Amino acid sequence: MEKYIVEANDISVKYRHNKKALEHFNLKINENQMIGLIGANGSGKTTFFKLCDGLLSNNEGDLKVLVGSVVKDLEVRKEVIYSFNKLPVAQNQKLEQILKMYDYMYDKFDLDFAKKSLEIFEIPLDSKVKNLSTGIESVFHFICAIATRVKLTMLDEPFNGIDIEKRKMAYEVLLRDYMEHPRTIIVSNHNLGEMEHLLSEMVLIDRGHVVFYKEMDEVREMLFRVDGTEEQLKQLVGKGKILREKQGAISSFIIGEGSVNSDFAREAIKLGLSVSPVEPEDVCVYLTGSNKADQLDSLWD
Amino acid sequence: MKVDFNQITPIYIQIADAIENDILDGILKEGDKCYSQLVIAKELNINPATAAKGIRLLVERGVLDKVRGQAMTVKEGAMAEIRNRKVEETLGEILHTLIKEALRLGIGEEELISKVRAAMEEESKEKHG
Repeated sequence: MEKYIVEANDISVKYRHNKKALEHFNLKINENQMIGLIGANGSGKTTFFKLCDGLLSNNEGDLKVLVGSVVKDLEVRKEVIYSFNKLPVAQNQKLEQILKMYDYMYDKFDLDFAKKSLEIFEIPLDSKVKNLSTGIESVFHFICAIATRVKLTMLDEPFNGIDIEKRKMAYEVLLRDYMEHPRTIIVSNHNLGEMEHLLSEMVLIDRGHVVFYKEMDEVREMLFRVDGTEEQLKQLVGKGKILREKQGAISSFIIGEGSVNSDFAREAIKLGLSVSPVEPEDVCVYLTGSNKADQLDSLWD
Repeated sequence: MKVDFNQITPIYIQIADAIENDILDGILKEGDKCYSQLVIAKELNINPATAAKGIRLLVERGVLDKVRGQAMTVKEGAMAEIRNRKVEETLGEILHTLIKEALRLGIGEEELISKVRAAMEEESKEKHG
């Protein structure tokens, strides 16, 4: 029944100086989902992408992409694309030539789709890569990756530098094309709040390992927030797991584990306190954050 | 149909609620085909799995029914079903909030009831010109 498009079993990747980019990394990715890969800078997102694209190899563990190895099997290779906003293509080439290369490399590349999309985004085919602004370059690489229609599409920060109007259009292109041609798409993006409704699932990684891989709706039910006075919040101690507490003169709150319908949250509701769900973006911060934000006050002491 | 991404109510519940409102308002009638998962996903720019979840919720609530293959249809008796549930849940919740706030402001039962009556008269005046 369950089909996985990527199976990573206990993967470790070491960089120079024995620094580990991924450590005991386990992840089985479901087929035909739109998945957000979320994590702080340096958490291992790009390493994971590069591994699945065959650009890096693992020191330990097994990696299966589609039916086999992305490095050895040509039929796998042809069904995988990894794209990011500063792809190292020849800077002097015209976009039209790059499209032709894609068309040559990927069987299902939809040249018409790519050309029409670029026209809608007002990107001339005869412009050269080196003359594109950061945002437009991102749009171009994003369109090319979508047009390949391969079974595994990996987009690493594809929306970097794109203005809000085009970003919204790009989100729509991503979703509509996914609906027309269902396939597995993994997107890393720091702006989770903006695109969470496009996703069906989400992976959170932290310091080289997987924190969780869940459906979006499950993520929305992981944590809740209770607002009240310090006195009121004290009554909740011991009733459930508290992840974070913040005390202020006029506003104090705690972050509790569970959904707003959990027994723990109900205890808070019974006390007449205001309980609200924690959004996915903040779930990530509370589960992996370093708490460094609390130190900011010291800057102006 | 409109969903609000900033609202704390999950999107699939907002979708279910919006379809129910369309049924109550007569835009969708009993026996009509409901909007498909793909149309909802496309128009609202949301993942089709979320749209499907909203539709599934309405099947669970007894509002939609799957007939003839794939088409989701508004069930006979859906209107009454929605109404009963809303009176129970939505109205109950609003009443609870209303009463809590009234008590906080020191407004008693009589005063609150007369305020509700006045607001209802105002509303019906507006409706009938």
